[in-house]
Amino acid sequence: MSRSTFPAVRGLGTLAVTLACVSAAPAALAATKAAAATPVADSAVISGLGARNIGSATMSGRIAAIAGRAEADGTTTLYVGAASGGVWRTRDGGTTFKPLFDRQPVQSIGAIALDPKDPKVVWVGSGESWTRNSVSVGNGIYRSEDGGDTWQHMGLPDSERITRIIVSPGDSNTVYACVPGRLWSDSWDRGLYKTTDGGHSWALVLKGSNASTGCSGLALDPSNPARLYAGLWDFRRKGWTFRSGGEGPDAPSGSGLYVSDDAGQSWSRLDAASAKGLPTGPWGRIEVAVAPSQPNIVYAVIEGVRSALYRSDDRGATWQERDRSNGMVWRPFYFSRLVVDPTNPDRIYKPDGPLIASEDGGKSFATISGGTHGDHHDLWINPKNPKAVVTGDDGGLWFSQDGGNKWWKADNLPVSQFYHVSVDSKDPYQVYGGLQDNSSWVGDSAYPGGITNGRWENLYGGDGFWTFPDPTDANFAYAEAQGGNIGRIDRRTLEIRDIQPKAGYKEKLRFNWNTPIALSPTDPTRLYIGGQFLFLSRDHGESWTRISPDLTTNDPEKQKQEESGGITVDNSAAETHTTIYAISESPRDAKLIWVGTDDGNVQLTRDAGAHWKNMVGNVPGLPAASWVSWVEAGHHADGVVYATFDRHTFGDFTPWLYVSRDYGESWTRLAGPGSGVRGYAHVLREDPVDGRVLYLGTEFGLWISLDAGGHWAEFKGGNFPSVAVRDMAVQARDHDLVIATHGRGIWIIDDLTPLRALAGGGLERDVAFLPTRPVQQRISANGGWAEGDAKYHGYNPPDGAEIAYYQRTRHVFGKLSLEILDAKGQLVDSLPAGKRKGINRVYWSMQVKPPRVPSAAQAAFAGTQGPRVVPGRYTLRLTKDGKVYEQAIDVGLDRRVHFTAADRALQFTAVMHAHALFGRMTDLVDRINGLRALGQQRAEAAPAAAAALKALDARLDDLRRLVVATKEGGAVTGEERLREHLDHAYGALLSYEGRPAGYQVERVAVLERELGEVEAGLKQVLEHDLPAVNDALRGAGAEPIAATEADREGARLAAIEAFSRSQERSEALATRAERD
Amino acid sequence: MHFPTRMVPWRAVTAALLASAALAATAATPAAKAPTADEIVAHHVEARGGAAKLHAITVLHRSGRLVLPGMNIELGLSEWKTRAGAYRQDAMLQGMTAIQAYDGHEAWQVQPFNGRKDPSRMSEDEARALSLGADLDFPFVDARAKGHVLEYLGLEDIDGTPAHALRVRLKGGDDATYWIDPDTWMVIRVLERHTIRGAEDTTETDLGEYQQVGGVWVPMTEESGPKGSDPTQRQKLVYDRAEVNVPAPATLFAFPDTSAKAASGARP
Repeated sequence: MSRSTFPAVRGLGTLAVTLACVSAAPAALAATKAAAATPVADSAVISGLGARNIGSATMSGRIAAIAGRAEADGTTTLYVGAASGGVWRTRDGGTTFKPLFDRQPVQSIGAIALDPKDPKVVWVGSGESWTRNSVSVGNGIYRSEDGGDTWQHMGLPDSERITRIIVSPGDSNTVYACVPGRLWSDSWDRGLYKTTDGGHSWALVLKGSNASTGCSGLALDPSNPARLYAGLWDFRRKGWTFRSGGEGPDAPSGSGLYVSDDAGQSWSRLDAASAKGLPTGPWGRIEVAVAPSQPNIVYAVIEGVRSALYRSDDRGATWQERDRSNGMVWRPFYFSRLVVDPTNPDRIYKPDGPLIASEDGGKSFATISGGTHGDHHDLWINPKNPKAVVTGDDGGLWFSQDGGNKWWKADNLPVSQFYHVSVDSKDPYQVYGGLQDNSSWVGDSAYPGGITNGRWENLYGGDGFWTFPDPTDANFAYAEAQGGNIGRIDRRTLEIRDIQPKAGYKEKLRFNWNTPIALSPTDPTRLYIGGQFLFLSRDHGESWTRISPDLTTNDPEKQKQEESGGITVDNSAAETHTTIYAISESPRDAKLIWVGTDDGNVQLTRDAGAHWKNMVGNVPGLPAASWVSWVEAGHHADGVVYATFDRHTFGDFTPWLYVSRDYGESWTRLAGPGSGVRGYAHVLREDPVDGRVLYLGTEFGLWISLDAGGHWAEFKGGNFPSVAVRDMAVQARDHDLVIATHGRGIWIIDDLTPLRALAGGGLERDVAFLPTRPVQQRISANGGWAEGDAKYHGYNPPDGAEIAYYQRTRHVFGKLSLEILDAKGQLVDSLPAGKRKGINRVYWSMQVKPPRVPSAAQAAFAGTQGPRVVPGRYTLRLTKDGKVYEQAIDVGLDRRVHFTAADRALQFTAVMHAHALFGRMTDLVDRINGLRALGQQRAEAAPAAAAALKALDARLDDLRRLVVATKEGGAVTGEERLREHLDHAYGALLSYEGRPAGYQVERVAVLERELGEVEAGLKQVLEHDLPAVNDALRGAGAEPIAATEADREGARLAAIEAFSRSQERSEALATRAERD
Repeated sequence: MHFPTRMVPWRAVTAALLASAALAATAATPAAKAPTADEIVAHHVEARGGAAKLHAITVLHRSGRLVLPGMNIELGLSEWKTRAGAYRQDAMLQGMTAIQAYDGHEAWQVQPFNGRKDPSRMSEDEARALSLGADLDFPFVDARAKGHVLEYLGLEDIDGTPAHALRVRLKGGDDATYWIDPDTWMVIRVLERHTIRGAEDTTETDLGEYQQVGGVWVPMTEESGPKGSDPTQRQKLVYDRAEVNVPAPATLFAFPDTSAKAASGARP
């Protein structure tokens, strides 16, 4: 949680007035305040929808930073920074993780540092520094004083990304922040920053020579905290190219290695001229590390024409070139960290494509990453046990207990980075999506017992993007890897057929890293994929037809990817540009197709590709060449199209969302500065049912509009963090919004129906029921198995009948009653009501009350449940502040069941017969207990009748023992009497809601007969034994026992035990305690 | 079935309240200044009913029902807490009564549903967690006198309500954060953080449906679960009756004499 969530605190004058009013009439005050406000569909209104995370953690996601501490008690505390999924903490060695950054406005993490003097103080630098094409952005540096539970933003708001934080070991207020700075644009807000007042103010103590050079590496000599080593890095990424260092291997670069002996006040440059052994420039990214156990030894990884590891044994005065294998060369923008064993100056780890390690001071390295995912970024070594190593890579977090030979994975970090999502029509539906460096997957939206990691299945390989079920054959799916490598997968065998369109003679097809694939909304056989041309297949990729010319600018200056990388060439298809990036066929007109390109074109065909027209020139205020991140043809009117433009590759992080209602002839901006929306826009989905409802995903979260883009509200339901929303899908049958986040996996907002209802207005109402999707009595099933606490499992949709209502203000005072009535107006259930402002959802189990069950040695567990009501119409009744609101609710069967409503009614009747039998049994036992209690009382008052009373008591107890198990003590007694037998029979009838088996019904009848025999036994006691006892009582001068008195006493005792009338219970317990 | 460890720390009213002078000072403070923790506590106490009425409460008894998540089991519920720092919660099902109690020194429980109806002692850690419920005040009231440390964290969003967050570092080492609705000054959410057997245990509880009892506003619903948990999967306590100063002898809270059959729901 953040202390800075709300910047302003309401005035104390206001508080004083409020106080006076509250003292008099709190409820009235709340109402008055509410009345004064103009209701809008703000975040509070919509977030009550809630959302559930279904993960998964099986693929997890990129880990950018790790910090840890070996605690005195032998446990390990780890802080893990996800590339775009926030900060997580474990205090139990990785068994469980807790998200710490969910209330912060960014989720990209670059650095974590623990204060060596104060275990409660944690620093986090936001903004990942592994600057791949899809990297997110941060907004400065944060500090926690309570181990990460709450955070304060401590400045550097324009840093964008931070790669290293070091707290001076001798002074907690002195902290250094190594800031690479902006990736996509020039900025002077970068370099090495220092604070001496705990982060309240910062000084830039080392800066580069140009506006693209920031800090890439930082090390502190633990034996002399004033001695610092810092690497500066000149870098820049554009949509179509990247450079580390200058524009090429020989171009000038601002990168350099520096040393300070006065805690950063002054710096000396270390290079080939000043420090023997260092290579000649120009340089690229530089990392530097000091061996903690021998601080005169310093290592540096220097990207250059001769990229290598360098080692100095004299605190940087002279250097030796060490390893210069592949691990020192490739992708310095992605792999740079160097970690020296805290106990061994010659043991070095370098997180790289593989994790590599050296035992000889960097002369040689071996790959040790074993079964990890790969693409490692950070590593932590337990200083008290250096064989305990933790590393983070593109696939999550990994633990080794043998110094990095073997690894086990953290299966509980759901920081998966989805690019796209789709759904099928199974019931429950499945969710499909592709992830950064983590292939393409399909998983369950619901599963009995929870959506465990094992409920997700890998379909493909590489980086994953668009993934779809084949709408013509559920046995097949489409998926792709980077660069448009689309395949068709047979889900039965997982066989993959490559169906990527191929180039013609001397032709090069340009497929984006995140190549768009689209299914036709009008014809399930049509499949699109975009290169620079739009391709269409009508036969599952067996053949492709080009239905467009080159729709991009075809700018040759943006096609020089072979020169990309700067000093170290890096041409992985990640920068392939001048490509189609977005495709949308109109759901209203199959011949109308919109295409957006990464270089700024918005193309339209209205004749299925015969003719195309670029409409982007009509978009007012839009800078040229803006990346079209989304196009969406409208569902509800001809000519409507939405387009989002992502300009973050130009350093512009604001949202650009437009709509056209005339086929692109004119456009209106729906989201931009001042709209309340934060972050560059990735996706806009128009609600397929109500066109006023729009869902906008940006780099910093999800925004929803209920008035066609007039106003936007951030969705924060279900603790949904400010994570990048890259894609969304509406499951048409269930009306769910399925959200692909790039950093926190898949989330689902179940049932959009109540939200849609508010699009029509009504926010001024105090209370109103909202419609929901049809209620089903979903099959109750068991699934899954115990997996311990170290496995993530996604959340299922809430069980029960959804009840939705709107409240204008939070309900604080007085009863808020939510009741369910049957067709006769009889009360069926009373539910705890939601109290939040805005949309509330409550779920009714649809069960009648459980039966009254007589007390025995143990609980009758089936008897704790009532059966579900028969399908039909029921009435919801909400009572608030004396006003009653009612709404009908129709309960239906699960659409998957194979039995009829008549079968269901038979089951209900059979269960309720057993239910009633429990009641009879309870009455019987209560009467017996009443008689026995009265007998004890009389025995104390009339000793002369004690013998007769004792005999009566024994007779009664014999009867009781026929009905209920009585062996107490907690052992597995196996004692079963009528009550236990009935519990079994009742449970069997409950277990299946179709027509009950004849033998089950007969079993209850048998038990009823047996119960009748005991009842007859009691009757005999009452008619024959009790009169004799009463004679004895009269003879002793005591009042006889009447059967009705026994009933009252039994009921009284039951009432005390089962549900207290509080005063009586207090007194009874007090009396009993005193007596005992 | 095992009756869960008490999840909903409810604190009623009372205790040492800030003097009216503090309120006067509050009103005179420039509007731009953020309130202090003491000022918020003072507003809360006044809104609850005032110091005198709070002080008059020596015993609070609430009864109602407990709805357990997942299993959808409903139990009868009865709870006592006393000025002397004792606490007891009974949950009743099928004539059996699960008990968790704290007498000011030690905590004990009865978990009868699997056949064992004898009382058993709870650990010191669990007793410490349970003792929070024994405080008739929210612990932020008169925090210093109780040995707690109070901290104002600012306004934070609680389901659309910007609420004052007060963190109480409890004397025993645990802590709890209380969010107070600035419109009504009632507590609407509590986050308790206890260390149980060396591991952190957190419980988040939403309070609501305040009703006036003995001139004091008392919450009648409590919904609790792990921090950030699904609202539909939370334990729900719905009280339909609250009384003050009912009989509550010390024997109600003391560990029962196991030589005699204690109040565990056993029949003769």
